Amino acid sequence: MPAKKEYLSGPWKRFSKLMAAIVGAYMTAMLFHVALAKLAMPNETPVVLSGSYTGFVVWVGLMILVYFIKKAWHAWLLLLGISLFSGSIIFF
Amino acid sequence: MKLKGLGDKSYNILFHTHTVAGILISFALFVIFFAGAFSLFRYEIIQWENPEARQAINSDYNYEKALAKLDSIYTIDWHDNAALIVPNEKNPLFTLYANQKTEDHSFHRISAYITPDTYRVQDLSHPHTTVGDTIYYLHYFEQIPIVGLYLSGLVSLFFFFAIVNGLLIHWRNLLTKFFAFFTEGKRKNIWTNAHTVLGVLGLPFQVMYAITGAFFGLLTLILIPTVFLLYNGDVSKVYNKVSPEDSIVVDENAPESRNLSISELARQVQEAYPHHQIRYADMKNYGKEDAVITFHFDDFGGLMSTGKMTMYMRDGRLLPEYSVLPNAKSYSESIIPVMVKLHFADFGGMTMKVIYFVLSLITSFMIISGVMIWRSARDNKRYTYKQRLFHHRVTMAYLAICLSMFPAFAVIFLANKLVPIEMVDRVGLVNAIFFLSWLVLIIVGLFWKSYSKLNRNYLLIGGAISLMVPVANGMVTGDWMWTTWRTLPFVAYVDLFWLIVGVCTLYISLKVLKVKTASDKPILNP
Repeated sequence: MPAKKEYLSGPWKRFSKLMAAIVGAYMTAMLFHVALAKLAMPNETPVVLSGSYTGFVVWVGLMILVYFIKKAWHAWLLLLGISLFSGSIIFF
Repeated sequence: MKLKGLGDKSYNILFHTHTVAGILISFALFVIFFAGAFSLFRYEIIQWENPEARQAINSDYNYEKALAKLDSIYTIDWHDNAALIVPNEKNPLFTLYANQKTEDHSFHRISAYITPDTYRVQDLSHPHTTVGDTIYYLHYFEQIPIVGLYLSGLVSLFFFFAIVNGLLIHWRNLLTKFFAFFTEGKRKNIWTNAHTVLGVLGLPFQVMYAITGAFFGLLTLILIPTVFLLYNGDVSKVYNKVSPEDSIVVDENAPESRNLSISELARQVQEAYPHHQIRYADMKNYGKEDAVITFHFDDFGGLMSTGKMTMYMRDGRLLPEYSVLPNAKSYSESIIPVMVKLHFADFGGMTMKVIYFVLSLITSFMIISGVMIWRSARDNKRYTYKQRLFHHRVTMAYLAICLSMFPAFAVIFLANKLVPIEMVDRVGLVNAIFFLSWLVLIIVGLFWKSYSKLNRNYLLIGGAISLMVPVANGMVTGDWMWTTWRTLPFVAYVDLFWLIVGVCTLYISLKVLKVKTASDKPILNP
């Protein structure tokens, strides 16, 4: 049986969620990884190399989380929160 | 026992994302898995595809003579990295990848193989034969310029997304439905049962390929942030973690010297690891005093069995800081080699490759069954006629693209033998035959009205061509199965494979399959 329509959302929300799932989740996952590597400096080699697979796991995990969260802007808020937190570790 | 599943809303949303992601990538993913399954045996079919490779390894092969010959043709820049693929039982041809010395210092990569008996040079930018390469390139869409690899990586990424979504929506029934792969019950359910049960059985294999596939396709996306935010844009900082031997600096103006021969150096590796096989070597500043060579070797046994030894070519002195010994690696040294091994099935020998092959085909079947679920769930009155026609046409096109791959693969094997070996640019012709026959098969398939007919006809055509493959090989090269069985086993394996596949598919398509003659096209106002 296909998914029931009443649970699905309108075009704008869909687009917003799609962007959050692909672009937002990607950037968040990457910033999170770089922050971890930064924290591990100067022994960051295992963290950086692990990123070659954990990067995709976290990216896809966030992707699903975006669809799990009901409101699109809640999802953006979560991604932004993780990104800002990671960014503050990277740049300060 | 029932596991606690998702709530109604989450269930429906994830079901929808699973469907959308799945249907978007399905045919591309099928091409990846089907071509990938054959690519597993890329090196095993070299002797079959190239008659020049059907000779024994020359045990006192003179690498220096071969390299001198190549140098006289290409004027190679030995200061740069040169890669040597040493002869092995599957491929006795010695292959070199190197950079050419150019007037304006521009970068020009050359590749060529040198035959073991007469030291004849064959340029690989214009190779003689192709089957394995074409199929291998197809499995990551190399034939699509520039974006092909990235597309395949994205498909892999969304495959992973679809897998996790699928697991979550199936969670409630994971235990109860696991043993529900029955053919009884409604015929419609066979696709759902096959999809879920094979999906659960193949889960580890599919997750592994989704992640390693994304890694090979989208490595750039992972590297960019790390390189720019962590290393100020210096990509070599990351690469040197994987292959530190690349950071060795050699002096272009170092004096010439009489170094040890490559065979002698290789013998040192063989003595240290008698059960390992040298796969390839990287060499810098060949012929100079500070020349270094790194041998990469493997016993194809376990996941940790790769190793590399870096040594000076003048005296064979090992450089331990760049060498990684098998089964004694740190976590960081293992990550990339293990991912490579998992992806290419370079462990566990031939048995593992056969298991991989079967699992790949099972995954291909799972992808098809997903499309069939998608279609049959939409073939009812809740959809308008126009929508149902659209679903039918998409299904038809997907099935035609996917199922015609089997006869098209048989065609490329046949074309490899039927196009005369002396012909100029025969590889271009073989590729053209392959892709055109695939296209023609797809177009013809769209005119067969029912899905079962489409399936049966492709199997029939594929089976008939399969049977011609070993015959063509025997007639053209004179190496019939019964003679190659002892002398060239890998040639015999390929012939035998097509013989068995041909007989089985002909039997199945003629005797087993029931074909629906009526059209599957939805009827207006039934």
